[in-house]
Amino acid sequence: MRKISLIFSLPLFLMSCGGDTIDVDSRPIDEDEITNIDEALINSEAMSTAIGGKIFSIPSPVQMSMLLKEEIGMFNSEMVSDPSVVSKFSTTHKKALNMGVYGADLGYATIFENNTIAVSYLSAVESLATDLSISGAFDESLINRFIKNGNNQDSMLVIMSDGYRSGDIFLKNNKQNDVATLILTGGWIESLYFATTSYPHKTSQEIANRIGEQKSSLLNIIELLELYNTEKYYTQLIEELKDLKLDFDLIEYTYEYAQPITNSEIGLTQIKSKTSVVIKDAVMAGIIAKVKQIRENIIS
Amino acid sequence: MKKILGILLVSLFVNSSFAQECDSLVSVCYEYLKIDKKNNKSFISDGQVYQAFVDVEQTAEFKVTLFGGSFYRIATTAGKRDNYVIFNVYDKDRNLLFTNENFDNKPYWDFKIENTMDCFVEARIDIDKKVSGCIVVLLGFQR
Repeated sequence: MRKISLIFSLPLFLMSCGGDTIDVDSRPIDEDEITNIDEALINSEAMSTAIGGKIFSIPSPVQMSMLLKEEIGMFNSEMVSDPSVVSKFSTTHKKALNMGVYGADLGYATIFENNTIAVSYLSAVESLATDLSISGAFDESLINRFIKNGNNQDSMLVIMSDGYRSGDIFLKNNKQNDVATLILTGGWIESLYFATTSYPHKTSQEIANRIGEQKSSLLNIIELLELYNTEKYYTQLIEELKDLKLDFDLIEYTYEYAQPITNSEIGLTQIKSKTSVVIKDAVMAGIIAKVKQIRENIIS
Repeated sequence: MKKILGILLVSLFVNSSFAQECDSLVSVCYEYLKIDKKNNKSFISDGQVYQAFVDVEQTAEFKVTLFGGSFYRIATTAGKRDNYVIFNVYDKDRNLLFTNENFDNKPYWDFKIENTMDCFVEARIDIDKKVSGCIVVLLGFQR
């Protein structure tokens, strides 16, 4: 059984996008070769719908905000970024990163039922989406639906995720996986910043665990960004994230498998495996400082 | 050279069809996140669309962190009928946690996660029902 999380057809892609000179191979083509090329092309499409040959999942920033509402219970207006400076982001990669940042802020404001603030973030997201040519994802009708459902938080979160899902599929179908990755990265960093900023105010074990549990996402993001950094626009960000990874490497993790319990009548499986995260204070301090700096560089 | 160009053009056309097929399937799959009779509220999409074109011998796989204290729904589709896709969920050590194959390939299933863990979700087309095509997987959550 072959898995599509492998990179298949890079040589063919390079051939089709090649340099200034074209080498013509005049050898007779055998049928096996044709079959291989055709298969590689089809697999190439499978790749493009994933991200660079790998299908990654980055957690939704909304989940972090939900946890913070449970653990902290209070909206922190100093923690979120400033939507009024949206026009200062001039490059594609900065716009994409900050579309992710604003999306996380939008989720945070929505979870804490600050609807007026949420709409200001939605407007900033819409502005960046237009600049990035994905305005269809955050159009006027979506914003109106969001406002109309102002008394229904669940609906607002669903509408918001509709916009990001539409943007994600548009970008992947249009071979703009780099932009999709930067949006995910911005949202992920902002949500991690929420957690690392909140933790010193209330040293909650739940928040500490959630910070430590971001290691897989960090590794995924580094790998994705490296894949798309062909123009070296975000080399500094990658280096900063690699430096952050050094701190995550010092966290202790344990995992113990337990038999899941499935209830077929209601279509639910309870996953009962046990995990633990141990973060020493010095390690946590390092993570807090580095996340703050990375986030500052993104929004500045 | 002409043969290669011909193959490229045909493949581009075929690939465009795949994208259209996948697009329409995303809408179908998204409906599965909206049905939740247990809590009477929708699952919130994580904002990402996991899709791949697979043939008879291929599986699509993605790694995901599932957070403790949350409910998740994994929803899949690969066409008009709702039982084309077999999906399996494994832990990081490749212990099988769930397969919908035991439940008539039900297109979506819910998971209650007690402790945060990294999982692999693997999806493939049931060759008894379909040979190849686009598979779409969506992940939704509730706290």
